[in-house]
Formats: sequence, structure tokens, C-alpha cells
Amino acid sequence: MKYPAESYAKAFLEALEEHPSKKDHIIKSFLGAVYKNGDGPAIEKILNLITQKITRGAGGRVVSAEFARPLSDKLILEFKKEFSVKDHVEISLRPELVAGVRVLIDGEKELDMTLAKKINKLLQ
Amino acid sequence: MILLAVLTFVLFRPLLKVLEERKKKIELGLKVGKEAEERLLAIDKMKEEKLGEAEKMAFEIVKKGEAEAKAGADKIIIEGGKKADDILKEAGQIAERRQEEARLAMAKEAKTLVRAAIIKTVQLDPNAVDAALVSQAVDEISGLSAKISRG
Repeated sequence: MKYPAESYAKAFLEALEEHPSKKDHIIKSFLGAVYKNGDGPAIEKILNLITQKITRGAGGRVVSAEFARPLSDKLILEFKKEFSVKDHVEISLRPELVAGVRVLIDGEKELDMTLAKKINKLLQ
Repeated sequence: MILLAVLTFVLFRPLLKVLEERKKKIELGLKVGKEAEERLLAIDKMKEEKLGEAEKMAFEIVKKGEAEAKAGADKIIIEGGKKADDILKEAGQIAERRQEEARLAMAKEAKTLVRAAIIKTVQLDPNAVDAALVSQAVDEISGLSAKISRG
């Protein structure tokens, strides 16, 4: 990467804070600059960092939830009600988890309630 | 008298001279013969002495050779014994290693089978397992949130 993701996120948020009315222009220019610098492949990392900063700035938590398969609406509701509107909840699917959920809060607290982990623990 | 004098002068004296010379020659021959005999005896003695020395030396060489051969044989026997011990030890280690490998392979296979069996069972009703595990996670998150809000 030409510049670290942290620098991109910081620059983007500062620009947005200084000129909130030019949001669309800032987004377009920002994306153009990232790709022009050859850092396009890291765009997901940069956007995740921006999301984290915005969420934390608003007093929320960044929650990453990995499920083995798509859950029923009822289960999703039950799960999401544990988080506030300030929290940013990202859901992804990982079939290798077999069943259950793995939750990562703010990239630090991990809650692994997957069957894959339970099986591994059992067979250790 | 004259005849006797003449004979003495002409015959006896030369005859005596010849006899004297002959005697001297015989004596010299005897002396030389005796010396030669003594020399031969000395040579024979020396020969016997040399033979004795050679025999002694040969005996020493054979004795030394035998001792060295015995030492060599002892060394070979000791080394052979050590080598045999090493081979047995190595064979034991190989057997142990193979046993351990077989045990590990069996354990790995058993784990794979158990894992497959669990997954197969879960796949019969995955939603129920998901629901149970997600509920547990929700309970844990509730507890965590309560802890944070209290803190």
C-alpha cells in the first residue's frame, strides 16, 4: 500500500467533518484517490476502518457476527436486539463453523459459540 | 772317511735340507689345517648362535603377532557386541516410533470419524443447533452488556 489504511480513514473523516455539505464530492474524490494511488485492493480494509471510526465516534460498537448458515428472521431479531442502534453489526456466513455463531466486538472481545470450536475442544 | 765327507757334503746335507723343508711344509699344512678347523668350528658356533637368535626373534615375532591378533580379535568382539546393541536399540526405537505413528494415525482417524458423525447429526436438524447456540451467545452478550453498563 502506498499509504496506510489509517491515514486514508483519517483524511476522509477530516474532509467530511470540514465540508459536510460536499459529502458526495468527497466520497467520489476519495475513492478516485485510493485507486489512483494503487491501493484499490485494500479498499475493504479502509472502508471497515472508516466504519469503525464513525461507529466509535458515535459511541457505538463494531460487531462482527459469523454464522454457519443463514438464520431465520426470528433468530436474527433475537440476536440483533442485544445491540443498540449506535452499534454497527456486520453479518457474514462461514459454513466451516458447522453451527452457531462467532461474535467479535470492537475487534477485541470474542465470543465463540460455534459447534466447530466445541468439536475441536472435545477432540483435543 | 773322505767318501763319508763327500757323501755328507753332496748327499746327506741336501737330503736333510729337503727333509727339513718337507717337515716345515707338513707342519705348516697341519697348522693351516688346524686353523681352518678352528675357523670352521667358530663359524659353526656363530651359525648356531645366529640360528638361535633368529629362532628367538621368530618366536618373539610370533608371540607378538599372537598377542596383537588376540587384541584385535577382542576389539572386534567388543565392537561387534556394541554394534549389535546399537542395532537392537535402533530397532527398538524404530518399533516404538512406528507404534506411536500408528497410534497417532488411529487417533486422527477416530477424531475425523467423530467430527464427521457430529456434523452429520447436526445436519439432520441444523436450525435447532443454531438456535441453541445463538441463544447461548445472546445470553452471553446480554451479560456482557449488563456488565459494561454497570461499569
